[in-house]
Amino acid sequence: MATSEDKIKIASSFLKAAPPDVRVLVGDDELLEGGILAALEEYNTEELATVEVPGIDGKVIVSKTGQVDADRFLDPKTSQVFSVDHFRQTASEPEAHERDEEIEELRNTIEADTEIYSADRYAEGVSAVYGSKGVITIAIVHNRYSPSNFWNGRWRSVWTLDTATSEVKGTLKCKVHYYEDGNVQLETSKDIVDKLSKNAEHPHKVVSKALIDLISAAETKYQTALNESYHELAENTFNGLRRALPYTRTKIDWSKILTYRIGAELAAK
Amino acid sequence: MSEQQLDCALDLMRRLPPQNTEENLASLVTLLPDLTEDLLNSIDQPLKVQTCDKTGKEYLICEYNRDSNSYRSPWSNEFSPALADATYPSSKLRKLEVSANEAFDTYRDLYFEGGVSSVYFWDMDVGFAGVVLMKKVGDGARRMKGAWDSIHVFEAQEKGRNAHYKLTSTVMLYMVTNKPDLGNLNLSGSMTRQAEQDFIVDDPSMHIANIGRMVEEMEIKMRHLLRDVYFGKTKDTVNDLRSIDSLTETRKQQAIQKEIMAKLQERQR
Repeated sequence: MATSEDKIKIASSFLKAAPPDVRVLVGDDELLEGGILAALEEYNTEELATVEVPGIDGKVIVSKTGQVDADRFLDPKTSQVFSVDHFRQTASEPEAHERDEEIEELRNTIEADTEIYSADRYAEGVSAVYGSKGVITIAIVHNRYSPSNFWNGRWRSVWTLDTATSEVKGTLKCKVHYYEDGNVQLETSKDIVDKLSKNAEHPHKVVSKALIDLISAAETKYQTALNESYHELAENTFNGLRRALPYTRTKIDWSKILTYRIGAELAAK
Repeated sequence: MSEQQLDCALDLMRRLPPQNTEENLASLVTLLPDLTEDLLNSIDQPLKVQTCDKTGKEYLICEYNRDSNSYRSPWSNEFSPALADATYPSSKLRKLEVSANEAFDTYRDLYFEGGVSSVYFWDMDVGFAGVVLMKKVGDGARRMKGAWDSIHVFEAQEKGRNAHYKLTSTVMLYMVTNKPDLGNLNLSGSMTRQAEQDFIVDDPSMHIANIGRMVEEMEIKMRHLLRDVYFGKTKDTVNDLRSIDSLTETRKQQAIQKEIMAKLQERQR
């Protein structure tokens, strides 16, 4: 028999993979509410969940980078923090938050450029640009849901710039789920490390442009590689698993199936 | 509660990443020990290969050739590990099963050019039922790994000179690759389809040809479907999530084209 701890662990892992109604499975609401919040929070921050915050236009990303304490998250654009209900993916109680003034000017410039870039490549993407302790973090998420066509997809890009070393790190992740009479998922992840040619001695506008150019080029290169892999998987791997038709180019004559082998063996000699 | 739990568990399995089917199934069984048999019978798992002690030939193991903790080899009809009180098909059905294994071994060779196949039959109160299994693991060339598992479960019921066949087919397809430009990619899942058909059965051996035709038709249909979903639909979704071309440029081009068209139409008036 599974212990309470086991149940929470299992339910949490299910939740992270596919947040469904796990209440029925576990059959113990009190146990769930106590233990499962951590899993939901991890899911929301990892997947860059977007929430509507009262008084803020557009959607706001919930991320680890923006987490200021146990249950409050930052919207770097308006410099407000808000509470998140990880069960319902809703936000409340926005209040002003102090900015990191040392990096604010650069952050603000990169934010403007990121918004233009995001709108140019991610039709309904949501972005956030954080600045703290010398590090700029850009998060972009684009969700597409099409329940009537049984699919959904999510693209996540997270980039950091260490202003002290000019090191740039990126993580690109893509998930697509198709579930009409089946369950097919694509999961990809790619890490990138690079160095920015511009540094703190250059004007913010120059640094920002160089960073967005780097991101744009790296993401397009990645997307091209992904499309090429699709082609290779379809043409080589898939065809190598099962032929469309036998080498005879005709379907099998089942009335003669038991004599096929003898024929094939003779042909091989 | 338990029926609702089973429905919920099956629904959950359809939504969880298909890459982790075995792990998730194990977790569900821990959570719902009373439903173990139901869960094992209703959730398809990747097929495993075992070698027949007597003939040295490989065969596939699944719920349908399992009795206690032993599996029956289709080549020797013996259980491994040996089992005292095992259930076997009737001698008449076993004869048919032997021919079916031979026939589908040829089918496998012609379509998969490798891999392993196994066919298991069992007696029903009326007629009989069986499963045709195919497994092919790719050669892993170009760092691209792939595997195809098909599970065709059927029921055959004789009515005079005819037999009515019900077929439920599941194909599990795994594609995994890892390359410097691409990072990690995992495109995996399963699709299920059903078919029903009547055929003439003048002689019991005709069952094999009838089932063979249905399985062949179904695999051809599902291969198209898998190709479409794996390499068409999920790829389109990725390129919807991020546009490889500038959306601003695309809109500009469209606006210019519209303008030109309008002017041309004006001239024609």
